[in-house]
Amino acid sequence: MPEVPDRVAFLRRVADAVDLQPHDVGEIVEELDSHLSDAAAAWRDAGLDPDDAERRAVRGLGDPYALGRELGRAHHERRQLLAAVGGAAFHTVVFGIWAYLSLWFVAGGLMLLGGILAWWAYSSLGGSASGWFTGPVASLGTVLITVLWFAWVGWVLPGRVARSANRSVRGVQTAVGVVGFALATWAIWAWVELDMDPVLAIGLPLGPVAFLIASQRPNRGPSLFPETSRRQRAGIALAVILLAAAVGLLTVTPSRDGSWQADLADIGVDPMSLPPLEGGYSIDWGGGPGSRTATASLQIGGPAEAAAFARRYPTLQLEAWPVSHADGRLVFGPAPIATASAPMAADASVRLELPAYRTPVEISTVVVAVAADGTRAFIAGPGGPDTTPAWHGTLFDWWFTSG
Amino acid sequence: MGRDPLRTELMKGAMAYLALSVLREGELYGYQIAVRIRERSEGAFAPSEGSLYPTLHRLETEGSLQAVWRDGERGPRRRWYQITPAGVARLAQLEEEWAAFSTAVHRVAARPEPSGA
Repeated sequence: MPEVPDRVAFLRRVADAVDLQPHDVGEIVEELDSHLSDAAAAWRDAGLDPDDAERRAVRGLGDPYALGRELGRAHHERRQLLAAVGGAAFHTVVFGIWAYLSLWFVAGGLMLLGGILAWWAYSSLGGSASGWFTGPVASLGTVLITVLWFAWVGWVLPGRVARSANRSVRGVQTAVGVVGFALATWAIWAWVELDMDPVLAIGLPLGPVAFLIASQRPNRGPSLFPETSRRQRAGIALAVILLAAAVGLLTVTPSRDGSWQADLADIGVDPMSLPPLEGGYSIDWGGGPGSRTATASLQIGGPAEAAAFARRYPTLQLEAWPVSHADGRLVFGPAPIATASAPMAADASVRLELPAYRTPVEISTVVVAVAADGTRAFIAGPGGPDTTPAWHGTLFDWWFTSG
Repeated sequence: MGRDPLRTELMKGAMAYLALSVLREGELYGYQIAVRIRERSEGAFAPSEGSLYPTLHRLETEGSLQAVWRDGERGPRRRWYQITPAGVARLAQLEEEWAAFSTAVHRVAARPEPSGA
């Protein structure tokens, strides 16, 4: 037998579900309250103790949400489909934004908590921490928030749509679930472009599924939160704090010593072969989602020097080499992953676009002057270790296109 | 034990008819209407009180009933319902519909007389 709420809770649920002007809601609640007083008195007269009499009276009015909706329906006819769809869209947008911000706000607090715990743990061991919440664990957090968001919206939305359409929750939940699942699947597979990795590629499609499942077990009332006992809330809070601490300790890595050395001879560049230049050089980084560019500029002082230099080294080349670390040394890979070249001039520049891989690669850039015979002379670098841009695109592209 | 679904549906359909019928004799408030229906039917119709109030409000919205708040002598103030002329006409219409419905149901359910004897 379902739990019978007390009178106050019952009347509050009716009021929540009525969807009328506050004055009308107040009158309905007052009328039902007086009914409950009469019914409880009658049960007491029949010999029940006051608590049982109250429960029987409340039970006699049935489901408060259904009663509230029926009373609301009694005051106005079913709304037109357009109004229902408009109401659904409004609730989706407003609640969706609210839920999204709420989840990220909570996640931000947990990240801060986890970071503080990790910092404290590393400091206690005499070290320092860096590299906060990046990589697969960050993606896992994004997946978790996304799935939670979809489940939350799926749980709340049928009730909101039912109110807009003035229909029962059961009557709209299938339509809401199927339409929401289809729209969400389209959006997440073909519309949203992200810096993708394998964790996101596998986890994000679970969001629409969570929406569909939650929408078939929707909240019947207008509440935004599932009903939980104080003990359940305490348990959830404890689990969340422990999870944040564990994630913080697992993902916040110890700071790495920033000093390193590299031997340019490994990549065929002689640092000593280039005569001193009077001009300067610079490397500027740029790019957007899924792209990263480096532009190397070289200014050689004086036209005569520039002409002589260009004759000796006709090509300016910017190279991105894959690198790894070993015992404080930067070890270059077998070949650059990208190169760009331009004719040498008094004011030369070359722009290199780094490729985006599904698994980013650590790189270092080198600017060299290349002679006609292939001799490579050092101009600038090696640049501090960096990474290729994250693979950026839609889920569909990730799974069904190469590259 | 759960209610018989058929009876529940029939009660829902009949609720407007029953409520207008008891209100024809004078104004009553919600709880009194529920008790009156139960007593008059000798317990056969124990209306779900949850379906009574939406029916009363619907009848009020369509103009068949008029409601007014009155302070109770000892208890809280109550919302009294009174049938309107439109409600009387609606009741007459419902009586006809129920009579026709009931007759049709009986005709279908009645055992056919043997033929060709």
